[in-house]
Amino acid sequence: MNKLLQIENLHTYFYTKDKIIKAVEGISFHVNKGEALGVVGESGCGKSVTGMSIMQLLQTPPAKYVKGKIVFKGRDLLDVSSEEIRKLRGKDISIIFQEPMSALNPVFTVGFQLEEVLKVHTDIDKKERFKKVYQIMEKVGLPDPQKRFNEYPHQLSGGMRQRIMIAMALLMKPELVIADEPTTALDVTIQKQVLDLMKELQKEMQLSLIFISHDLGVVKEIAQRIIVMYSGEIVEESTIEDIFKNPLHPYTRGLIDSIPPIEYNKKKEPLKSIPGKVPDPSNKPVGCPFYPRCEKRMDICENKRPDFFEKEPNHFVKCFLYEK
Amino acid sequence: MEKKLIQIVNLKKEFVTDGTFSKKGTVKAVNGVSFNIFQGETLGLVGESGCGKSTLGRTIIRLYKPSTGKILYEETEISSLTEKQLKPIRRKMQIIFQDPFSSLNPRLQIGKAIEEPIIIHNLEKDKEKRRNMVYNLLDQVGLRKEDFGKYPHEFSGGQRQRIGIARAIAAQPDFIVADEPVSALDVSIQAQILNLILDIQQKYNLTILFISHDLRVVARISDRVAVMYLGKIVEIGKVEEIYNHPTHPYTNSLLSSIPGDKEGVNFTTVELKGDIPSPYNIPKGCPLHPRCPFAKEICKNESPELEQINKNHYSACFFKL
Repeated sequence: MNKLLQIENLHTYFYTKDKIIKAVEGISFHVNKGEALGVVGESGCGKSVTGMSIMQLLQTPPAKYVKGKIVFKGRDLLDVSSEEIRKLRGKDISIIFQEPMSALNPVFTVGFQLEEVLKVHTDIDKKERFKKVYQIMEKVGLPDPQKRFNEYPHQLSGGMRQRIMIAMALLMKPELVIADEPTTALDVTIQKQVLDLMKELQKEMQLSLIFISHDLGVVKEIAQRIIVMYSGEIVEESTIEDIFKNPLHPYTRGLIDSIPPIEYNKKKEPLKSIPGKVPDPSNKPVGCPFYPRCEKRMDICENKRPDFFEKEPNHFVKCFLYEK
Repeated sequence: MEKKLIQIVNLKKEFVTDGTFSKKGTVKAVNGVSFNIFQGETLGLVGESGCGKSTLGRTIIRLYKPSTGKILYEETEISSLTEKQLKPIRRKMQIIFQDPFSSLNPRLQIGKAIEEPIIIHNLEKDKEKRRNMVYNLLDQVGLRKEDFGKYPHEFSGGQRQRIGIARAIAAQPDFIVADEPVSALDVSIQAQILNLILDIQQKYNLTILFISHDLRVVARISDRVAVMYLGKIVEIGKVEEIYNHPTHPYTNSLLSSIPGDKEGVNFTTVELKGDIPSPYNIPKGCPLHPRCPFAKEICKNESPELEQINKNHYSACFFKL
């Protein structure tokens, strides 16, 4: 398969006055052309920082890309100038944020903000720009684009704002789209609409998609492959089918079990949960970061970190349970 | 026959906005609902944001004064009581809020916050004993004695929700409104808090109105479910009934939107068009008709009432599925 993006041993840290927050600590993964990759984990596991690192949208300092490579179409993005990165952003790689209200500028019309993308990246004339904006608005399911063009973000509902964000991300027909919890702020029925739209567009435009979410159920709807993050590390990687059929890492197992089955709980039996909470990223355990919460922990896990290895074909895990 | 703890009759709550900082008009947040809550049950209340579920929950426990309609708490009419008359009843009805960050006073030690309802309702006059009561509450919600003197910012989201629960049960209530108590929490923490709620419910024989937009969680925690849309209850019934034989297109659409595997449930998939309309401007007729794939002429003009389908299952639709 054709790798569009390859991340190697990436470390992204934040340096504050009195501590170092190791948000991303040595992750490696790739995204193939035309594939949707899901990234799941709880808040603070480093999934958003991963997305922001690829786009290099983190403010440096306090953030620093300490180590590693982000290879996009053969070029290490950590090695190119900020001018070059700016040309890539929105054109080759784009991002959809969780909260469309805070990602859009409240004092400009949505049409202006969409058109701006074309102003920055192309030299086509105004008429062409308008035509392209209308086209993309229709494509993302915004009827009556001429009217919508002149509306401000606050005049739109959450679902429509997210459609504008999607339109903006897709305007330049990028090869890679990073969607960071794009449906989390939306109601369930609207979430379904937006997910269906993204699924359809991903197929149609042959997009590579990194879909970041805390919700395994949502990721299952859209992604073909998945990585599970915990405390700044990737603990498991596999296909969607495999992860649900045969989760290897105890954390992945815990996440899957935390999805309540849809059935009446007559006896009011307790729901399955993962005890404890995620470690403080500035003060992680010496050994496996999941050690304090793990049901299957062993002595070795306390002081040593396991390696990430291929347990089964295309199924990787970072856990001593499976090491020989 | 189960005992009715709360009876709600044609309850309405409207908010009038004068247009100074917002649109001028009337928001019909709760637009005529009638149902009962039985002693010891958990009634799930589901619907999209803006459907009025939080307003309904707050009106039932009289954090809002109803516009019209009746609320009977153990046969006592409480919708028109004055603050003074309400005080003894307030002790019996408590609330757990969604956001454990904004619902705790940042400058109050959490032990004191939990102690407050005990003082207000005169449950224990002796300071020493009162403190022990708080220690006991802290222990019950999985916190430690030493946490008494800490401030909210020293706790994680899950722990803050535990504090909120301790405060709610401090007054020894019979009825609790849990308003999206786990929506702000991570998945692994959600289950911990839900289990705590199940645990205290059994221990104190609590009746709970559980407000949530998460239909998976509601199925696991509730006995009955009420589905709300634009200020109206559109369907209400036992969990098995609602999840396996939903009859209102809106209920079906909510079930269809649950992400992930939907094993073990049985229903016709329904997809709604568009967004929920503004509550300033509720459509005439059936409020769902502009989004409903089954809407016919009658739905535009007449508003369907809840009709009984079988014991304890009611639905408000002209063309039930």
